[in-house]
Amino acid sequence: MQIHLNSEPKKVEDSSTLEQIMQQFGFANKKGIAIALNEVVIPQKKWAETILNENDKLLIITAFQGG
Amino acid sequence: MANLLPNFTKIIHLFTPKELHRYSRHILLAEVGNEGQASLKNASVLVVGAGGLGCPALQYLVAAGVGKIGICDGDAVDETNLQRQVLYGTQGVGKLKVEVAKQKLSLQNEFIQLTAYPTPLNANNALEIISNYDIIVDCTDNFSSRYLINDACVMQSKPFVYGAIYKFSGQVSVLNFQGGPTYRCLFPAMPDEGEIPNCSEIGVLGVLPGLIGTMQANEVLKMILGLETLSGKLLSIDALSMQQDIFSFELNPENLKIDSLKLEEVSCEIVSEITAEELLRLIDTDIQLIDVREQVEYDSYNIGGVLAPLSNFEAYITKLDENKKTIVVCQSGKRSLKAAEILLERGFKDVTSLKGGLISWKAIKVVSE
Repeated sequence: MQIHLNSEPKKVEDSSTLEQIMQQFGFANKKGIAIALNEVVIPQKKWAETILNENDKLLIITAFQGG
Repeated sequence: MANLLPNFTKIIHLFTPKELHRYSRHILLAEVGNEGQASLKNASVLVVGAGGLGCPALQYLVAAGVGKIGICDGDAVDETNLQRQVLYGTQGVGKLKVEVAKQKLSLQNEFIQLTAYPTPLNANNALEIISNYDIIVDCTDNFSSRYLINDACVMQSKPFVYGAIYKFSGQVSVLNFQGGPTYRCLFPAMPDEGEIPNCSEIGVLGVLPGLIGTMQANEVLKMILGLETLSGKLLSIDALSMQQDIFSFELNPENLKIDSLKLEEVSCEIVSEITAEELLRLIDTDIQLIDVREQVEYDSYNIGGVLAPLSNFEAYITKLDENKKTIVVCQSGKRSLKAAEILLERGFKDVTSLKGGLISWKAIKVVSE
């Protein structure tokens, strides 16, 4: 199926979990980020139980420190 | 109109006619009114960081008539601040930001009370300073301070308004407010050092902190007035495309269990920096100048001083004098911050790092020669 990761279309396995996607694209162990699925931030402990659907929009939000 | 009369009687005691006139455009708004303006006057707000975000946030909070405002910052105005930190001008360079800001803001609105804290917020002073205010505004520029503000606010059940910028992008949120989520609910752990550029090394469009700082002031006013806020939501804005997104996030109750402030979360911000101009004045005095670049870099250009490469710093530390005024230099000012941090941890008494490194030094040497 197709999802959007940071606005880019990506082909992934059907019924992938968010955990699998984060592993696949190298975000699983990154600190200072939040993952939003269709504009809702999913905390890491819910990644494994979150199953993605066709055309879901995932966005990696990076913490900024500047001021 | 009859139902406004009781309020109006109260307001007469709280405000002078001059103030009522001054705030009349607020009072006209149904969402503010007399009561709202009185709430603003009775509120106290601490702005931590009087830089790019802090300047506009302060100006609007002062203009709006927030009765008691604290300004906390340990930095002096630097020439490179002037491109975006709109409270400061050429004359202010070298002066403490909180002093200049307080002076300027007190001229802007004489009906409010301003308190300056000429120190960076740290684990030793945070709880005490924060305890004096209803709402905290995080206008700092480093992760250590941001987690410190979060933890101190959680410990004291104080809401705070987060704002942060990076190049052309900004983020705003209202945190720890009325049972809403905290900073750690959004970003549980601080990024590893070097993972996200720090210390304003990457540049920022001057207007961006103006936008975000103003949005932070907006959230503060809405919190005081009981209007809808960004609690539980992160607003993200891209100043290039002008696209705005709002993400929602939830409280993780685990993040409310904070019982002490971590002292080890130090960053390069704790190390004080010296400008090339200041070093020029000090270079011929009795200082210990340490160059932490590599031998080849030193050989190709140096300004004297002891060579102690950061890559093998331990081997050199014992040869240095911990009691002497020490200035650490490198090429761009990054390695020297790291080295200065190490020296401070080892008990060196007086350590500063050359801001912008030998690149800045060369730039002013060209001008002064």
